[in-house]
Amino acid sequence: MKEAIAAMLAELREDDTLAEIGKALAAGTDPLALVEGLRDGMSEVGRRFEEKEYYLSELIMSAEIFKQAIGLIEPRLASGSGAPRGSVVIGTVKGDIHDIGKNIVATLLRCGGYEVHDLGVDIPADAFVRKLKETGAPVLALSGLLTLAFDSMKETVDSLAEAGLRGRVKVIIGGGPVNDKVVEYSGADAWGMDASQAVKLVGQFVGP
Amino acid sequence: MAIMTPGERIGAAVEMRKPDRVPVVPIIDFFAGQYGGITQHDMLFDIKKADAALEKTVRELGAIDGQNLSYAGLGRIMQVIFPNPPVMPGVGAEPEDGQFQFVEKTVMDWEEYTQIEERGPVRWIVDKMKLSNPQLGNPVGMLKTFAAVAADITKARGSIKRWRRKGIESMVAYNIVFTPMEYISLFMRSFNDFILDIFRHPEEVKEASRVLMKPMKMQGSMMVRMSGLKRVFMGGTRTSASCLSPSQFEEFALPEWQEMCEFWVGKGVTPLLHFDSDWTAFFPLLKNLPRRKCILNLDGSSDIFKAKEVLGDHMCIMGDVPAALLKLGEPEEVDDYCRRLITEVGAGGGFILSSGCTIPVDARPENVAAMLGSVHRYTP
Repeated sequence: MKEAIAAMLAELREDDTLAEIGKALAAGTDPLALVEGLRDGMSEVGRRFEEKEYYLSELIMSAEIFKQAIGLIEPRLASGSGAPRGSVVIGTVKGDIHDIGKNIVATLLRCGGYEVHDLGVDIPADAFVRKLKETGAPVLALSGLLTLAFDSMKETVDSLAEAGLRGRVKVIIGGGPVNDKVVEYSGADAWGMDASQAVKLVGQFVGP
Repeated sequence: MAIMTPGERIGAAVEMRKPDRVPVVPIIDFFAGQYGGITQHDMLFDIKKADAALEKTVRELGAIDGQNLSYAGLGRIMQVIFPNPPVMPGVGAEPEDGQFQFVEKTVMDWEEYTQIEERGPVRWIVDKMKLSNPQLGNPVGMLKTFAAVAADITKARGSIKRWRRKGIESMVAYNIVFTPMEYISLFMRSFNDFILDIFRHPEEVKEASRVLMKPMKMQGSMMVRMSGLKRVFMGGTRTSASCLSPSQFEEFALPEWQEMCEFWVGKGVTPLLHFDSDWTAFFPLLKNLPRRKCILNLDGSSDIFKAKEVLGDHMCIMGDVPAALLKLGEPEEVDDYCRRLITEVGAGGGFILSSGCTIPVDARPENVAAMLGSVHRYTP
């Protein structure tokens, strides 16, 4: 069952995956095993993405199937079961309203079992600081497509230092023009070229 | 070789002949507004101020052969023609010197894909424009709006002529055309929903593409007539390899790009394919577009050196000094990158030096100067 679900998800068979989940739940299958099957499917999608067998469109579709399938399973999960792998605060920095990349990363992180605090777009530095203090999240993911966003990223990293959080919070950045130079300029720890890399980075910093 | 005029130089590059030197044709107006001391709002809404700012920029930082797409004075037009208008500096709560940005918003349900033909595609588009421009709902409001737009277009046309007299060509000015799927994804369905539609409703997406092709061509033809320029700017990003797989591109998007390019080439108009995001994986497929009739304008995300290898004999290549380099790099790094572009991508002709998408508003002036001056320092 678990393997079948993983394979269906990896093949992006939306109706089949959801029907199989429904059948399994009706048969009393352990919901956690189904979640594991879905996660295995997402891992396979990630592998295919890295091998360039899949592209971003397939990542988006797989995340959509995962989200729906989890929606079916969640009511059957005992509270406290399936604790998140860790938490991440994410947002598009001040002055920038682009959210496609940020949303995809947030979705894939949720699929990967992370608790994601998505603050949205055009987020000032102090809002990130507040959320990091409130949640204790060890990773901050910043997105931006404009070159003006580089300054906001730097401002945010500086604010973390001023708030005494820099020692315990890793900062990853991403977005169209982001590269090593922007990491150096902003004082972030790393950058991800695509959503898959961003999830990997979080795994490195939080634990897989 | 005799010294060419900017128009001849650009023309030679587009026709894949060897110009006297590589022409430099950036998207410069956002940066020029800032450098020239005006707000971004003024750049978008006051073409005289925008022209003065550009004049100062090229006088102080170096000459250009032409402007790529120009946003100068087009603010009001963009507010009307885009069903999902971009965020505009100085409009609503936006600061006068804020940043022009597109907004992701869904303004149609997927079921509408198959209802466009019945409604009539032009009427359907106007319906969507009314969502953000309710004045279009009554004849007087519509008349006033289109009169204002026509006035701005006339001013922009005047600007094109003035710049030509000063030795700066307009590549495409406001001749902006979209393929139906780029249009749907950018202005109607949002990126995420569009991608899901490709999987869930493929035939409906294709149906909408077929129906919307005519009004897209009509709009472009109107712009070409009004501007007097025989080139069109065709923006591509949502159908790039950063988004679609090669098989999806072949099935959904390539037929559109082919039809659109063949249409323009048939009319003697050169398509300038302004391809943002990464198109590298699709380079072999772009050989299906008319040979030696299009310009491939890359933004720094694609591998432009690979483009030269795969498509160097097929289309003029234009690009691609990255925005991050212009903001964070040193002049020597900009110079070095431009040297590589000119000597490697420019080898044999068919190359235009340009910014990767736009020169960012906060680029370092010395980096812009390094880029503009590089065409005089290096030869292919």
